[in-house]
Amino acid sequence: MDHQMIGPLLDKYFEGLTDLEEENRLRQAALHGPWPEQLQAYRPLFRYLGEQQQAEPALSSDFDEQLLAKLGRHAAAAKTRQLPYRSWALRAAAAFALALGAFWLYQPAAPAQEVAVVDWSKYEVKTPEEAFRVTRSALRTVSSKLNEGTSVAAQGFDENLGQIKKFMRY
Amino acid sequence: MKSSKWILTALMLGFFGILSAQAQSTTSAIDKYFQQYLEDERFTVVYVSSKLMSMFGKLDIESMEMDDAETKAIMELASDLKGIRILVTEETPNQFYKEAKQKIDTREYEILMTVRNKDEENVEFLVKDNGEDLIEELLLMVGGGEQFVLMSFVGNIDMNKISTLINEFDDDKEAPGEQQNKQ
Repeated sequence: MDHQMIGPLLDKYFEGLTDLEEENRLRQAALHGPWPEQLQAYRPLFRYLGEQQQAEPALSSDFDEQLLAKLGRHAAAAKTRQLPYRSWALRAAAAFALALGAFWLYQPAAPAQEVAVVDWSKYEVKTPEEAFRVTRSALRTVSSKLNEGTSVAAQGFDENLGQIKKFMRY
Repeated sequence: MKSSKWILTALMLGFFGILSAQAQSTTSAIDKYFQQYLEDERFTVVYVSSKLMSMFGKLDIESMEMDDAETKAIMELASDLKGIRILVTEETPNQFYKEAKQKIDTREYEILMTVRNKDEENVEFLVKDNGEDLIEELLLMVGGGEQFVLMSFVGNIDMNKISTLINEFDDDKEAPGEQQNKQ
């Protein structure tokens, strides 16, 4: 190749405008042909690329066949497995048990809510003053009854003496 | 076997569901055992909610002519309460008392104290505790004599606060007030 052509081709190459043919000519020139003195700096690059191209082993013609044969061996090994009948029965049983579990999960909630559904608001006292009076009177009743118990207990009547002693600490 | 693991999981789920449903039902003994009395004309029903009790602080206590220490003890206790429920009837108190005793599940409620006094009156204190020092519910049943009274205090009740209150009530010799609060 005319070594005068090398300069313009290199310019074209670095602009990314060369085609495959032209790039091949550059590599061949770097390996075998003359190379302009002032462009020696670029020669090793194209020499290297040319050497690499030569060194690359081409795919053999039976490459596809070999590859497919190899894949085929593995595909044959992973054949489908039929699940035995019992396994399906167990799955069905598991699904049933899950459904049963879910049923239980929601079932007992209903009666518990029924109990809680008492509408206490209609029995509620109307004012804080009244509430205080009721509270006071209720606590007073508790207090007097507890006192009654402790005084009886003091006479040795009550079985739960240990419990009552809580109130007699003072 | 994989499937049996799933079955076990499902059973556990069901079991857990039952447990959590029981945990949710933190209602009073009255809700549980005495609901039919609420609609009964013979009963007087009174309910004090925690909301009302939280308003005690704003009350003009001085005008109510009460002992400061006593008021303080009441408020202390009321702040821990979630509700007071009272059922009173003057008809066949003995019968109602017997009925009530049979209804209450003693696995849930522990008998704190039983008294039978000279007026032929039966008193029973039942408590449901939370396994610690606090009482979840204090239930007082009074039967015989002239009336049948059921009182349920729900909340986190500290027994020490109750004994403080008893001391306060004990100091002034006023007779214990009965429930006259007809609606």
